[in-house]
Amino acid sequence: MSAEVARQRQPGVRFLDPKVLGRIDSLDLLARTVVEGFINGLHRSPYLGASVDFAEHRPYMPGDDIRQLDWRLFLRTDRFYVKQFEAESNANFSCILDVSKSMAYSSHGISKLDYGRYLAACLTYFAHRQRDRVGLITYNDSILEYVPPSAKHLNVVLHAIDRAEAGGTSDIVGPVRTATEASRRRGILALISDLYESPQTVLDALNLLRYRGHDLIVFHLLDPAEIDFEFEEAATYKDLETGEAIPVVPSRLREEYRRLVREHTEALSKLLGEHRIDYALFDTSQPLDKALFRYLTRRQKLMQVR
Amino acid sequence: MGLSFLAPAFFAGLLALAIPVLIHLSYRQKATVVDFPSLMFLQKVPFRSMKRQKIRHWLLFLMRCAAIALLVMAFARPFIDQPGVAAAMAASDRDLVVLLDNSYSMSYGDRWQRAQQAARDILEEIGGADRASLVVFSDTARLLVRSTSEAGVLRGALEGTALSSRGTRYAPAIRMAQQLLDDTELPNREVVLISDFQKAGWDPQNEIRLPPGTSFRPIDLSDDQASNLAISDITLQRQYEDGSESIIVAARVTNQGDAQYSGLEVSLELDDRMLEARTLDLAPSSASTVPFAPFPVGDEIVRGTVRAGSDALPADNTFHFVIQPGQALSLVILEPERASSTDSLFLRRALEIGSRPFFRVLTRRTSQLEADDLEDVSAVILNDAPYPSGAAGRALRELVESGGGLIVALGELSDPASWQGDSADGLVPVFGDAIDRNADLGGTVASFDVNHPVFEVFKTPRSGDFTSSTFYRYHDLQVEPSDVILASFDDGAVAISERSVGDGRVLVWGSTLDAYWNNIPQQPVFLPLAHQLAKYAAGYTESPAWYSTAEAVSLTGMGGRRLPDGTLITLAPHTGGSAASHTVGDSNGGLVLEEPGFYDLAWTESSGEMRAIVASNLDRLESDLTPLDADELAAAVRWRGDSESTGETVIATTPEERETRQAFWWYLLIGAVLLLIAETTLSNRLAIARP
Repeated sequence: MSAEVARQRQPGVRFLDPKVLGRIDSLDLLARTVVEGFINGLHRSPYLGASVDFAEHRPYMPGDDIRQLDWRLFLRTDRFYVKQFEAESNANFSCILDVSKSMAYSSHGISKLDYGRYLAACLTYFAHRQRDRVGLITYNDSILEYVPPSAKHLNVVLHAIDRAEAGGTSDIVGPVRTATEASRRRGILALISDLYESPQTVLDALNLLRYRGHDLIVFHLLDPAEIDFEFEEAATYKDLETGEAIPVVPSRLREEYRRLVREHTEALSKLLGEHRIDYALFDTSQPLDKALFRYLTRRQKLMQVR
Repeated sequence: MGLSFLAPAFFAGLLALAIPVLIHLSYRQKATVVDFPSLMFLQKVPFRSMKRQKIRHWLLFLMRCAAIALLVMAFARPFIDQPGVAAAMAASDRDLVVLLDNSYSMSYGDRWQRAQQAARDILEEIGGADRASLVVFSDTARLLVRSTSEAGVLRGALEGTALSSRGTRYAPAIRMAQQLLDDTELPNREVVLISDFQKAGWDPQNEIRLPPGTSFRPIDLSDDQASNLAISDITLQRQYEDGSESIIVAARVTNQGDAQYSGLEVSLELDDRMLEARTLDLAPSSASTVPFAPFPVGDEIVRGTVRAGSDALPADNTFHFVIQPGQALSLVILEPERASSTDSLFLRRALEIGSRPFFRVLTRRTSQLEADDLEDVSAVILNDAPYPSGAAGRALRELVESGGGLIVALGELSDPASWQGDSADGLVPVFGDAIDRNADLGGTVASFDVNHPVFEVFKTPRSGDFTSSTFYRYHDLQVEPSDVILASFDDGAVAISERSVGDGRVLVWGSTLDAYWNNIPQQPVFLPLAHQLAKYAAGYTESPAWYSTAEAVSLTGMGGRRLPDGTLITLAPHTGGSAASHTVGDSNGGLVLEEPGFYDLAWTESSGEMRAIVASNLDRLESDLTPLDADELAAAVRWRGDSESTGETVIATTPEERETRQAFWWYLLIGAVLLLIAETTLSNRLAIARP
């Protein structure tokens, strides 16, 4: 019995596998299939005043926004109380999807691009259900498709995701700079990429968006073969994007390769975390909904700290 | 026992071992091309040339060699000199780790008795060459017996176990089991977890995997209808009016379960005397907050206790805390000579809000400041004002050097020349004309050091949005290497710097603290930032009102400052009992509060013997009896490639009667044939997999 089949039989694992999802052609249906299993709430609004649903009063604590003080209650009770609202918003939500040639890679049935498309579709559907405005940017070394955020753009985004095809070389800086100019209203941006750039380059690019006040989430997609490098054959390895080729004996450099990948992901996680950008590494062999669930659970915990 | 051969000449056949070697070495690698997403990492690995003669399939090679060697040995007709082949290791031998939960929630009902009985039953199963380890755990894991087959030792250790007042964490226990089983040589491994499986004790983020082949057996002692009444939290709200301080205690009471409480008495005691009792109606699965009337805070530490009802987990029906004497910080805000009444409005309003601590604020024009104004002052804020001259300036410098704080907000009236005098020399970095960012619609604070105490409150994601603040003008600070940069603007200019002067510290904010040069006072982050700057500059530290059991007492907050290394501190329960001691600076874990209640701390300083009181409560998470699905935990810790929970398949060596001493060659021959069959199958598969 293979490890994968064994894992499926383990109790508690009730999520679908990307291979199963890959058989469903309709992205819209796919998004519903995955999303319905989630807990509610992708995000709480980091901005104030967007909601009108009053929830309750609570005593003022240092760090609270003084604009939320209920002055009428203060006049009546001579104590400071803060009005709390239901955490929901009509924020802008856009996915920035890398469609460079390297995203077409697959070692086990589902490519990184397909995985990223499912992820983008899920998140978009999810955000739309929260009454957020949804948009999409696809890029390789320049922006290929731009769907501006709108409450009516769910189908437009899903169609754009459906049309996305892998090609070209990847360069994060130029497209992000263009996206910065285009995204004037603050919102949530989810970058979905395999991030074959130096961590500092990624950070510098994302800082352009962060300084605009955007809340950034980085989904780093890697195929298991890119993480573990479980190749046996000594062969010539060709770069999907540049076409460059070098001879490689996997068994001799596997450990070194793994160390470099591990250092790369750790550096990304540390650097982005220090700048308060959410970072999540997704292994494309893992069920998408399980990975998303874990990420969203962690994100919710962090939101509760606030 | 020895092994001899009837026909040793056949060993010449071992030369045939060269055949598989030659086959492997003569094999030529096909030139295949593999598409790979990026060579970014492969190119970083130092290039190593591929050797054509490399042996690629070691298993295949070894199988061929072994088959030939067995054939040769079989023809050499081995025989055993003496009978007594060692008995094969029984397939059932196993290494067992019993994890026994002794957290406080196990005292609910008869859970602990059932847990001990379950552990006894498990240990009874041990037999033969089995070995077992016994670990008790709560929020930490403690190894009582390491891998032994002596049942008496295990039973003795089990009978000596007792409940603790600590919380539940599964990760340390499972990690200890993992380490124990990593070292074992026995073929079967098993972990038995005996617990009430509190959901609060498991974090799904824990990445712990038991070694391959380990079976995991959860023994779930949770109750279907567990109910618990608990005081889940206390808030202490300080009020400061007319020079006196009062405090309001509010208790959060939670009712988990189906019980309905009507007229439940919730009482507040101070120094063992009942102060107030309230009644409360509490529906099933609900919570309510009970506020008590405010009472004045004196000059002594007060012990407070809130009690609510009684149930099967009595420790969380009581909540202990201590109330420290008034902790108001005195601040002086200095304004320029021609300041308007609104110049420090935002700053004053921000400092007036909050009770941890209270800020007692005195506002003065720089020219009107007198040395007496700085008596008992913790920090001074120069808000867009020049440095005071004369005796006041000298007094301010003395204040800083003796441990006080100075916050300087630079604006257009800061007057660089006033910082050139003797009193002010070296207090702040050199600054020149202001940088005007109006042309590019203002700058922002681009980065800040979240590890610095001032910005620590903004450490969690989305907890401090400085990007919405716009800075139109600010001074360019020429910091020195010894200065600490706390925050920077988006053009790289220093926003906040810190300089140590004597025992005190000077914080310089490059822009104003009013709405002239920026709009940060109108942003949500201004209030916590103003509080943090004032507290940090004044060297304020807060003593916690209570700790959780198993938590170490913070020595930083005692007496408002850290005690010097080498100070001997004793910790004794307030109600009497054995005392523990700790020397500050030792790395022995500090003073840990094991049981809920009050503890007296005592230490000696140059000024005499000092005393303090700390309170300890049960870990609040321990009150939540919501059970975790034991199978979910089992799935999370099981090794990823584990097919079933029964462990690795071990080929049992069945003892057979020896026919004749010479009959041994038959087995060698059969082994060689089997190996050759396996080799054929494997090589065929490899050939198919490699087109």
